[in-house]
Amino acid sequence: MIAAAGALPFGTGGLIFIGLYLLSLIWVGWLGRRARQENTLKDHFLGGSGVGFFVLLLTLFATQYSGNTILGFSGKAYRVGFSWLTSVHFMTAIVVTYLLFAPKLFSLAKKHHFITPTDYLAHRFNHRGLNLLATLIMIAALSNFFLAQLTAMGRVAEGLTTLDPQTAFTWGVIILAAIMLVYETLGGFRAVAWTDVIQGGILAVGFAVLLVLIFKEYGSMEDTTRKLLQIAPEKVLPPDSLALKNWISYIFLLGVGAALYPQAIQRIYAAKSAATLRKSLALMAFMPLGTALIAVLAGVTAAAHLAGELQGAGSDAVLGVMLRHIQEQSLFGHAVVVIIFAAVLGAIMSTADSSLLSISSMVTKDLYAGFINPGASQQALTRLGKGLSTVFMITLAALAVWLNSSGTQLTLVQLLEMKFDMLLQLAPAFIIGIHWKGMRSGPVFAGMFIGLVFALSFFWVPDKGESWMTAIKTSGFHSGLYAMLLNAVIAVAGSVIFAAKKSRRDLP
Amino acid sequence: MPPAHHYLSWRIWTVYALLFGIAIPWYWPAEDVRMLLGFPLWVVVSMAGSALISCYTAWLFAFRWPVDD
Repeated sequence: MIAAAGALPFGTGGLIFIGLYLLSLIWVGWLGRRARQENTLKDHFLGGSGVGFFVLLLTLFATQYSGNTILGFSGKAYRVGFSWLTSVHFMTAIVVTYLLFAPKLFSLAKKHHFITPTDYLAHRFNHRGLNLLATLIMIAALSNFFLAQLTAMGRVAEGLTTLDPQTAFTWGVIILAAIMLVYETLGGFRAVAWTDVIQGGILAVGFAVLLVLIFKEYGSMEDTTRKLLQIAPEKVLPPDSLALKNWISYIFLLGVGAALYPQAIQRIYAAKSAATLRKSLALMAFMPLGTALIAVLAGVTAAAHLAGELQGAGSDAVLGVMLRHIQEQSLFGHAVVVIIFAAVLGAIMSTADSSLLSISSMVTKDLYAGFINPGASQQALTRLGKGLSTVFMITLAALAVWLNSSGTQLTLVQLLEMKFDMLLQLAPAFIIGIHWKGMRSGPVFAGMFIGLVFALSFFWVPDKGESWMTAIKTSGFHSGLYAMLLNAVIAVAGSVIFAAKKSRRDLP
Repeated sequence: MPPAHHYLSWRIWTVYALLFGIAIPWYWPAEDVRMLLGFPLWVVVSMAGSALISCYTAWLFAFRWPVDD
């Protein structure tokens, strides 16, 4: 990450800018609290009657593009070269996937007052086992995502100061997590969406500044490409057969998996009107060209011009190395690095806060109100939701600090790395179920459960060997896609068989 | 800024298959080093395909949203 490149100690001006930016988030949280219309779950988790075009666009943008987009994508492009342009395709594919279910889901959500993704499943299938399984899949996937964002926050804090890395990481996580908790508890979804406007705005500016800096500091793209062709031609030439399979697999894995992120689905619910949603999604279709593409160009530029400097360093440190170079050039360079730093921080925090709110909403409404205390009042549930946010934040922040200080790689964390393979198992219920009335709850539950077990079982499959599961794992396509195919076949075939049996029974 | 199943029509997904078919660089010779605008040629074609996918998707959302409502 940034810190791995060595600290980028900021002057007083830079730290004041970052400090003011963080304080502005708490101020927005307070504004969100003042705008509260009622003490209900809908108001706390979806912002009441919904958000308008400008806020919806920026909250979709800031939530969808995490710290990984700017740090991880540039690092990956440094490692594999232009082939990581697959990231532009899969980020676009997420918006394409919304064509399949967003219009109808929005219409249903407004009519039946959905708050969580499971509300749709409960309305459509009325199957308690399915509700529980889907909720647990989403909470597990999001908890992993949230933990990754907290860790990224610690890494950014390491790069901000000259403190020793472990102290900086710990205090960075504690301070940034506390700020998020304050504004989220104060203003709920409104605070998260309104702070996303600030964070999404800074993120967009950060990417634009990064694009200008790439060409200003390292010369034309032609020089970069020719240089890279000499030192690492495999990073310039078209992808080989295995890389192409991976390319196509990523388009389906991320395109469908990330479209089913609970916090993304809740933003579909939160649109004020269909016009607001369709205009926001129309503009979201262009975002990969102004974000993922720029991150790839940064990584490729670093691969050509900074190859020697990064030997031995983690390649996700690419951006940090570039920023340090730029910072040392001039006062202007110093100022723009502060802006890019704020953009990275904004990308991470905006994704983390929406994940936390979404986890809290699912535990409160789907698990507590759904299974433990169905008669709880709206006020009690809202209070519980805020309390759960605090518990989750403290638990996962402590886990992030412990993992960092002990150097432990938890098996559980590695297991949860398969979050997209897990989220994909929701696809038949959401994408087929929303259009096909003949889809039955029993086969959907069976398909989701078997698909999930099949996807997770690949965690223990070795990368080498003769077994058919090893062949699947090394085929170039992600194992979650095979699991989703199996899941869909069970759900569809089971529903067809069920309908045939029923029609035979109904014959006179 | 004109049925609910419209976005499932075979025409739309045929267009997508064509656009992704252009954008995914499956048809380039392995040693192709031709350049255009300072980039490898396959990168320019792939990103042009990606831009077309974005334009088509934006058009579908903006002007072909299914109004059943």
